Amino acid sequence: MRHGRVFVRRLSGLFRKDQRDRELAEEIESNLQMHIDDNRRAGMSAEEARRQALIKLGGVEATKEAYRDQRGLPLFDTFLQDIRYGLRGLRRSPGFALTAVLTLALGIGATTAIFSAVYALLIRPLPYHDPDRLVWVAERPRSGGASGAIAEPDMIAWRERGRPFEAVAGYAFNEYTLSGAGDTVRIPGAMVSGNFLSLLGVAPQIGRDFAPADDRPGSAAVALLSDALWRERFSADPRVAGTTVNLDREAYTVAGVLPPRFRFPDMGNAPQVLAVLRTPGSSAFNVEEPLLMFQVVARLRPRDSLASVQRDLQAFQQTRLRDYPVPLARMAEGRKLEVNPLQRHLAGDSRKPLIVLLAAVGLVMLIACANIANLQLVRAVARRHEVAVRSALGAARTRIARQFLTESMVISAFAALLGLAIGALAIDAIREWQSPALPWLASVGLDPYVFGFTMGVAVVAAVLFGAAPAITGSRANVTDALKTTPLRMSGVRDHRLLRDTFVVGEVALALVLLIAAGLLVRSFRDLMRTDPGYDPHNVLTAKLQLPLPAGPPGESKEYKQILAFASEMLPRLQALPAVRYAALSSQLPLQPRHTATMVWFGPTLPPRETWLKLRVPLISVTPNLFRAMGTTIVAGQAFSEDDNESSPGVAIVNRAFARQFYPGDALGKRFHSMVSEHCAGCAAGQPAELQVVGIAADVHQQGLDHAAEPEVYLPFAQAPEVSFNIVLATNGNPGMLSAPLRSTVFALDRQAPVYDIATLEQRLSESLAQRRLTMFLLSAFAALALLLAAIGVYGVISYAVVQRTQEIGIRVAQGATRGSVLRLILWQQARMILLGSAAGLAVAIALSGVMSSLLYGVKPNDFTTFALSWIVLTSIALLASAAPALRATRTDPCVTLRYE
Amino acid sequence: MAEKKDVRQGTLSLMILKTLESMGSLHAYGIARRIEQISGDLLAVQYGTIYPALLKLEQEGHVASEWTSSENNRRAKYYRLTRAGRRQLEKELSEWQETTAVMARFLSLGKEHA
Repeated sequence: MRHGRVFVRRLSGLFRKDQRDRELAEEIESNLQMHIDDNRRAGMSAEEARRQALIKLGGVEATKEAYRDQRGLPLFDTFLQDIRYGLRGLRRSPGFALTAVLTLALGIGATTAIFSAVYALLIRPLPYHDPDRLVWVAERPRSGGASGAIAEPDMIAWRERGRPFEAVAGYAFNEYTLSGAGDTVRIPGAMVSGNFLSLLGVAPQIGRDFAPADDRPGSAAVALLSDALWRERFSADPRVAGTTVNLDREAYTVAGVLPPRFRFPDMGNAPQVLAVLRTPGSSAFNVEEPLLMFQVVARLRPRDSLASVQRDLQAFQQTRLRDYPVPLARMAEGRKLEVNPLQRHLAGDSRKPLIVLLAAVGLVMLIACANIANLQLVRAVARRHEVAVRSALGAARTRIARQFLTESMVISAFAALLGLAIGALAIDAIREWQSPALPWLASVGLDPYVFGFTMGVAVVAAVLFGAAPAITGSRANVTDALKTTPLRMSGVRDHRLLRDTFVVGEVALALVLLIAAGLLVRSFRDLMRTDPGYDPHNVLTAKLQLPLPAGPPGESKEYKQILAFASEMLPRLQALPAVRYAALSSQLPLQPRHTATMVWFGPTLPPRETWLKLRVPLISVTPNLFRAMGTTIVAGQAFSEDDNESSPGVAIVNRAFARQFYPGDALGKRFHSMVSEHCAGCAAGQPAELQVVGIAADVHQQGLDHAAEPEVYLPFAQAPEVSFNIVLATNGNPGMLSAPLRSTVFALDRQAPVYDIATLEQRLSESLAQRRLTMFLLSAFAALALLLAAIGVYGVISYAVVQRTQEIGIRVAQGATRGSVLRLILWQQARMILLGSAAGLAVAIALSGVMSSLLYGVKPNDFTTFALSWIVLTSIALLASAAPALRATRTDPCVTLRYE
Repeated sequence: MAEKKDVRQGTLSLMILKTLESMGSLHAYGIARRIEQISGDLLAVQYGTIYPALLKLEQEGHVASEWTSSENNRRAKYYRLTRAGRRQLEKELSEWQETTAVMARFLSLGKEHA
């Protein structure tokens, strides 16, 4: 405390120095006079009195000096002096100052922007209580692939066991039709276990949290509303708790409203309503009941490590395998349980690209530092004379070194300010990218942490690029340096090795970045060239939910209702202006899988262990769908209006299906499907026998970078669904049709919400948002690196040429041609560039594994990319060295030799 | 005349505080003078050293200063003890006494055995 106050007073002592000096002089003078007066009174002569008083006082100047040191901060004083000196020096060489500040500012700006993103996604604590102890639990199947949900009995077993987790909660996403006052709408929601919110440490802003009692089967249905839904739909009514809402035509009691900043612990999903699960909640499997699968979050006990928890859980699951029913036990064999920090789970697929980008930006920063260090070295040589004079005048080596460092600090400070501005602009640009696929982008911002990080980077950079000149600069040999003239050119071979090393390093790093960017660009181009299996242009899509009970429509009454609605609606949609085809489909590309069946080909059910391989997604479509989507029927024919409940069961399979299950010709073959249908010869609750009437082109349903899987299309009339997609192929701008589409459906049934309206192009583009952003940023960094490396090469060779002016003059005087001089200079540079690019290629090959997961279609050591990047880099580096080299050849020997 | 001793490092501020406690408000020259007198002219105070010491005490908040007229109508900077200074004085005094007591006991050890 006291130290702080003293420091503040001393700090303030740095200002208004003159006044304080005057005050001290006055005080000493007045005291001196009193002393003299006393001496006079003691009988001394005037002169003697003054002399004695001055002796007693001691050296006045020494006193003042001691006083000043006590008053201010002497170290800080010299620091200010250094800064002033540094500023003056920079003003003397504005070209250097500008290049250095700009170079560093670009590096700092880029680093700031990427770190902001990294901070927002990977570092900023999640908005939950003690978020470090929250984990995400998932099962990774033996076959590899995405980790998935947990079976309810397992979740209950972990909860009952009380180990290794303190608490376990589950949830599952759902959609609900919200009806009642106002329009009937379809909203995203989630079913959550009763302890879900308390596990996260979140309390509702109004009303109550779910209680364990709500969780039991048979208890009343309760729901929590999101803040947004509460404001929009319930006009922020504070008495909403306890009222009733209609979700999927079931009455739910509103327990409360979630806080405004509540974020659901899942990437990209923002449920508007949470309903409590009401499940039997047994740790034993019951084959009679449908098996519920949940996403699971858990809270670790304090001080438990992730690894030990994972081991414990895995071992426990192994003991549970005995209790599994037979088919499940086989599927569960070899499964691996994954326990990951919740934060990592929420970062999802964005984590890897971000880390690669952070590394890339770090390389850019390194190149920037190398550049400036190089410039500093060049300057240090140019300033040898000045340094020598100063040390001859008695400046200590440490003082000179400190001055070089301070100068770097001054550059860094300017660069940090400018870099912060560039970073802020870049952050805005990144946020502009906003995409539903990358919801976290909106939370990227310039917070104090990011600011602190930038400052840290600036300081480290200052030390990094200031260190070399500080060490070598202060070591200057006074006599040698003083003997040479200030304008020196020959004989100075100082720092040559260091400078060459910097250039080689820069070239190597720039090549690594160039190759990485090249690989991403090539991946993206390959991806864009991939035929998705449909034509996304001018197609509008929307989801529709009929006000009927969910699930497969077993009763014939509902089945008739669906078909009646569809046959009423489709002609009206078809009649809308500019609509070429109107069609329905239970599944659209880039949507999560909807329905699947099990298929088999003989008369009898195949053995159980093969079942998993026979799972095939089902898609119900109306006859026009293939035309509307632009999906080719490669063999046979599309469905017709005649394929209905009174005709035999038919199917169209995709090529992947035909390849996998019928190595010969699939057309006309028959197979069984586990899911029952409405057709002649079909019976409710019985597997259907279907004939393949057509083969469709493969569609990349799960994204361009996912291979097409076997699929079965069914006629909508034989396999209707209560919720489906409307597909409108148009002649013009499909966006114009969204309002007519809404009103057409609304006129038919006010209770059938149309939602999630988007063009196919939008959906496709969103699915590529992550890749596009990564590619764009990495390419920008590679371009920046290339530019910086070019500047570095240019600066070094310019300097080298100036250094060798005299030597060149002698060579020319002795008859060397311009060509030979040019070759001499270029060869020196080419050696460094070749060395640098060789190192770059080696590093790129060593790092290729890092990139592989971000690529599509190209290998991480793709020859073309490597070769092209190398050519681009080498040409630009040579180009950068050509200009000064050419200048060298134009030297007039008469002029250069006169320098001596 | 006995050889005069220089003021030991660190004890000057304690002397200043003690002087101000007994004398109330005083200027730098007066303080230096007083210290010399009390020590029976055994201590030689370089009057110049008093200024940085006073500044330090002021920065620490133990003394406060004010320009006023002296007894014979000369403008001078007067220092006085603050409340924090009084507490500091008590603290330093007790510490000093402890130290001297320990030192005295320590230094007298040899004699007892002799």
